[in-house]
Order: sequence, then C-alpha cells, then structure tokens
Amino acid sequence: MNMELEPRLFATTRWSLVLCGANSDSDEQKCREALAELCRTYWRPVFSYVCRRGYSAEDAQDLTQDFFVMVLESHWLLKADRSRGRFRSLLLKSVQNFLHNVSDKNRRLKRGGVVEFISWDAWMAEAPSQLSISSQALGTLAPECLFDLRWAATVVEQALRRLREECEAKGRLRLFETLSSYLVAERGETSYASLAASLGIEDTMVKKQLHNLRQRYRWLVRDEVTHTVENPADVDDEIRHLCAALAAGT
Amino acid sequence: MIDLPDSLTQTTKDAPSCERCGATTRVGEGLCATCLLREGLEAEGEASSQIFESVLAEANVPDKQWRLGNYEILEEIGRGGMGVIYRARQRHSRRMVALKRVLAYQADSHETLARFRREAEAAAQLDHPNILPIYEVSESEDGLPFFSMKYATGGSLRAAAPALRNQPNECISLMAKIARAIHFAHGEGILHRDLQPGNILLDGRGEPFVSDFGLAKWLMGESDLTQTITTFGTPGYIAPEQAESAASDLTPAADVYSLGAILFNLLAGRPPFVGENVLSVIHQTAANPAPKLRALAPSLDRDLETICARSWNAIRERATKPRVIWPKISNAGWRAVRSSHARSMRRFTFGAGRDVTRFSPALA
Repeated sequence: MNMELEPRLFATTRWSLVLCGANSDSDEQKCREALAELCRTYWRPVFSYVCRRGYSAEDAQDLTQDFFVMVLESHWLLKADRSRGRFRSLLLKSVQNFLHNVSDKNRRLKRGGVVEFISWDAWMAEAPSQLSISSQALGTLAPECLFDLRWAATVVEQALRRLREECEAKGRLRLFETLSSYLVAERGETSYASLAASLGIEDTMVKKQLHNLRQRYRWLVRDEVTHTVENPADVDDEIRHLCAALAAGT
Repeated sequence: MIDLPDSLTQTTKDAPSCERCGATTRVGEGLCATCLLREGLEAEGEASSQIFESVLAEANVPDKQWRLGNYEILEEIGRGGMGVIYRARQRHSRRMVALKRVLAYQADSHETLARFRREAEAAAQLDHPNILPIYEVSESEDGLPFFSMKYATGGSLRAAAPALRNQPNECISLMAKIARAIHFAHGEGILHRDLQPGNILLDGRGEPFVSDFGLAKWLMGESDLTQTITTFGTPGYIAPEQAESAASDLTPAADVYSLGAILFNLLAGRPPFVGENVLSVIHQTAANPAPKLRALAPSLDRDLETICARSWNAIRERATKPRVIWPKISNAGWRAVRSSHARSMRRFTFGAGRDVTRFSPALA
C-alpha cells in the first residue's frame, strides 16, 4: 500500500508518545496530553463495557469516571503490561482489573470528596454519538466483544467527525452533509445528477468531490487507528480486528 | 435494533442489513459502520490535508456563516410547532447549549416583542433543580426572538417513555421531581401551559428538567387551545375542558391535568384519551369516563390510580396545587408495585435512608 502520511505520524503516534513518556521524565506534559486525548476519544467503549458487566447506567458512569481518574492521575502505565502493544488491548485489560479491585468503600470516598473532573454531560454534548446494533447481538455479546465493537464504532465516528470539521472549517459543511451518505456507496447506487442539482454544481464536480472526501476519510480512519498502536505497521491488522468486532454485532 | 445513544434510554428501531456487507450495525444517520471502517483498508494515493482542501475549494458550494447572537449553530436537532431547535456553542465560553429559535412568531409591534422578552426573562428567572435553565433571551438580526438553554443530552421523556414503562419506581421518582418543579413555578406565578413528555428533557444521568415554561402562548400566538393542540400535535395532555379557552385563560389546574396525563402515559403506555385528532379526543373525554390506570396496569398501586384521576378532575375540583393532589409522591418515596407483585422491584429510600414501604400520611 502506497499511502502518504503527514510527516509527524511516521515518528510519533499518540500511543507511542504515551509509551515513550512513561519511560522517561522528558516530554511528560506531551505524554499526559496525548493520554488525555486518547481517553477523551475512547471513553465510550469503557462505559459500554462496564454497563455490559451488569452495572446500572448511573454506577457505570461513576465507575468510568473513577477509572479515568486512575488512568490520568496515577502512574498507570508503570503498572500495566505494556507488552500488549495497543492502547485498546491495554485499556480493556486495565478496566477489567479496575472492576475486579474496586470496592464500595473506595467508590464512596471518591464520589464524596473529589471534584468531578470530567463533566459527563459536557463529554456527551461535545461529541454526540449514535450507534445502533441488533438487539440479539446486544443481548449475547460478551462484554469484551461489546468493548471492541464500541471501539470500532468510535474510530468510524471520530473519522467522520474530523472530516466534517475539516469541511466546515473550509466553509464546505453543506457539501459534506450532502455527500457523506455516499462515502461507501457503489458507483451504480449514486445519482450524481440529483446530487449535482442539489448542490448546484456539475456532475463531474460531484464525482471529484466524492472521490476527494473518500480519500480523505480513508486517511482519517487510518490516522485514528494509528494513534492507538505503537507501530504504524500494525494498523491494517488492527482495522481487520475491529471489522471482525463489528461483524460480531450482526 | 437497539440504539446505543449517549442517553441512558434505549429504544428500538429496525434497520435492514447492509446491501454490501450484510452487517446491521449503524452509526450516525444509518451509515454502515463495517463498510465505513473497511474504507481504512482501501486508502491509496495522496491524501494530505493540503491536497484535500485544495480540491474542496474547487466546489462552489460555500456555507453561509451561521451565527445567532453569541452562538455558533452546529446542527438542527428538532423542529416543532414552536420553531426550530439547534445544538449550538456559545462563542466565548465554548459552552454547548440548546438554542430555540422562534420561526412562527407573530410579533406585530415592538410592544409585543417587549412583552415576550419580559415573560421569557421571567421564565429564565426560575431557579429550580428540575427546571431547565434558560441562559439568555435575545433576538436575531431579523428581529425574531430566540433563547438559549441547557443542552439536555438525555433526550426527551417522550423518547424515554417506552423504556420506562417497566420501571414504575423510576417513573414515580421522575414525576415527583417534575411535580415539585411545577409547584415551584406556580408559586412564582408562572404556568407552563403545554406540559407534555416532549417538554420534559433528561440529562445524561436521567435527571428530568421541565422546559419552555410559560412560553407556549407566545410561541403560537393568541389562538385558542384547539389550535394549540393541533400545533403541538400531542392531544391528550392538555385539559380538554379548556380546549376552547384562550391560552391566556389557562389556570394552574391545566398543568395539574397534564401531570396526571403524563404519569398515566408512563405507567400505562398510552395517554388517557387517544384519538385520530383533537376533536376525537375531546369527544371521548365528554362521552367516556376517565380510564382507570389499573385497568391497563393491574400490578400498580391503587393510590397511583387515584392521583391520576384527581389530576384530571383538578379543574372541576378547583384544585390547583400539584402538591395537594400529588402529596404522596411529592414528599415521600413510593413503592409503585403492590407487595404481592413486588418481584425484583427496588425499594425507595426516603430522606435520611428510611425505608418506606407503605405511604404514611404523616410523611406528607
């Protein structure tokens, strides 16, 4: 595959930055920022996992917040088995251990005395999400499978959100909203004429813009996944794993 | 299909299998998540941001800058008889808000506009934990008023109702909070006038907030309530006895009626009176006795049935204080299911942790 990445990503992914920062005191601030960014993006799989483990939604919210407090304020990586290599795998293992060790006493103390550092409504409002899965899958998927499925959906949603923001930043939000539904459509399924009429541009321009959006979207998907692996060579394998997770939700 | 939105409520809807891959998992506006993810394996050629933006600029479809006052409009999230609702961001604080813009406003004079602003600002003064706070009342450059409010991430009670049907204790807890909010607003001299599940919003933790206090009459003009019901499209929550009255003639009893209708709907799965149109609903209320809650949900406590019935008779009884009719669930915890059908229902705890298994008048 011949794909040109922006130069910085050959050197550093967010996850590799976090792992490097855990080994030394240098760039600690960047390490913390990278980890915080990853947590802000991927809190939903953790929340879904905790819910699927049988906790009420309210308890799951508290536990999810407590978990990320632990991740962000303690030397989490020093205690974790980093040989797992991928942020997703390590985060899942960590939340499993966290739930195993959490006690009612600890949770009451945290709830009573610590200022909520993550505004739940603020997180949800900033990046809304809508995911639909079959009721059968929801009832039968193991918590770990639901975690991966939610992770996969988050990758997709994040890439779409970034694409939308890039279009909006350039004053092309209407173009995005009109063409985004056709990102994965086959050529035969796309009525270029009707889209052109809707946008007030030529058919050929619709084709060019749709191709442009697809190219950029594909890059953004890979970029999202790249940030969660230590080695960019693992991206394809991670995408295939996440595709399998989504297939399990059918 | 099960939606996994950020709200705590799950609803169901059907989604066909993707024609390309057969998967059913969808994101956003029904896009196939699997196909979208697989695109990451198809990447080829140049994809830098510079090239992307360069090609993007070739399309002559510029967006109009959309700001209202101090807010950047992000997306439309609802549309109803009273106008359009947007998700917006406050420019300086970057706070996410819901912004309601009145499109059908019939402002015919500066005086009318000034009165609207005074009443909207009065509603904005309501400070109660279960009343959706209004942050700002303003007007756009074209003179139409709008107001910003807390963005409730949990959606409306209307959407949450199906999932709550099997959680009567949750319904009671929720309605008790709403009743207290209504009582508070009445004490401040403000009626709601259009209390219905769509105007009860939930935050991310399922906490209810009553929205749009006192603004209904402005948002649809001075037409009578028959028009109101048609406009809002949800007959059955507004007192039929007052259907032919002007909105300005409504009394607190109308809100009390609505409370009973909402509770009935939550517990029984439908409004007390249903019909194809407003006139049909009004005809039923005149011709038929009020439905008994326990005829549709026999396992529920008898007192709940009484509360609903008294709410609908509030106008006749001139009982205008929600707490008079709703003392039991306003002040105390409540076990909604009779002991013989308790099953796995949670008990309520009241106040300092006392377990209330049967209502005691002393606690009212």
